[in-house]
Amino acid sequence: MSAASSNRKRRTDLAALIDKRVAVTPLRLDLTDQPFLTKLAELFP
Amino acid sequence: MGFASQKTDDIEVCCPARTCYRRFRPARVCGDFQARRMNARYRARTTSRLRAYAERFGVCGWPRARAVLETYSEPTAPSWWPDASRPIMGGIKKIREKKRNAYPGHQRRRHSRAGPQNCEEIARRCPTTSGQLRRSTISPACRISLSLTIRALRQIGERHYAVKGTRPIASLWRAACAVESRRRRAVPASNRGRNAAEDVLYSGTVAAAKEACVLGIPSFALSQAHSANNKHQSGIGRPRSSTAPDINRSRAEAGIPRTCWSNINFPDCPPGAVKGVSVSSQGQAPISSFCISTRATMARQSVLLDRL
Repeated sequence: MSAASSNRKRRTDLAALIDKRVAVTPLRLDLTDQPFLTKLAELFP
Repeated sequence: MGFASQKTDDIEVCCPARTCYRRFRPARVCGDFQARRMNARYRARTTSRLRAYAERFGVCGWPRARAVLETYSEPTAPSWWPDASRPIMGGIKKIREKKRNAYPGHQRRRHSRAGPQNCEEIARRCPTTSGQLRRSTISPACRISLSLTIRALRQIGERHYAVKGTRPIASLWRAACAVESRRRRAVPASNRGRNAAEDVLYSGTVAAAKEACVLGIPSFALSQAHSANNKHQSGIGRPRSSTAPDINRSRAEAGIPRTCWSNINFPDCPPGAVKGVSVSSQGQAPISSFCISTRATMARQSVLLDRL
């Protein structure tokens, strides 16, 4: 899957700008990837 | 003969601007009368005797310099320094106006004319904002040093401040002001150029909103996308000023978490062509849209990762 089509499917800010729409993206301070954190926790119990 | 001295020689210089002569080097000779009055003596072998002396003051620097400047200056040309005084002035021949830019490699960035007006309009129409931040026109090389001075903050309009410094520092400035005045209101940061996808990692605008968020102040980043063709088009930027207040109001009604800020990007089109607002996630730019270029800056070669 190309990045362009992935952006369009995921309703990303890039896709919104291409569609001439205002993109509002809520961001947060915590950059932790929770799914990968769970996997790593299983590897390092 | 006077009380102060037996003889006084005054050397005066012409001050054209004041249409007068000013004394700049007095020299006095004091005789027995003055020595007796002040009981000035010198030590001889067996006794002490009254001491007559000569008193010569040094050259008064400022009156002399002023006289030279006024005499040798011309209305449209730099002031010339006379040959006789050049050795004590470090060999200079002319006095030129000091250049304002004392930093090497300083380049002023051009800002859009509509940028500050847009910021002011947003601030005026946003009831929840307490001020606008705008990046200063200082180049990146000079930002850090200049941002450490208190005078870096200046008001350029109604509820609109310009800060000499990076956006994080600008945000801290505004946050400090907001905390001081106990007005915890939203802090917006604005940018000309989109900050989507990976731009979020490197954007100073987003970093400013993040810094304010760290301090517990609701914030959002406003970015106006543009292309090379419509970069200087006058209509670009209007969607931002017309839509931003409504979006901000809706965000306030929804309740903004303390650990969250918003990155708002506006498309590069006139206000009428905007199709609406889309709540989106952070995207990822295709790798094919990047290119590696080289640039020589300040006697060294830099490798840049840029967009096509």
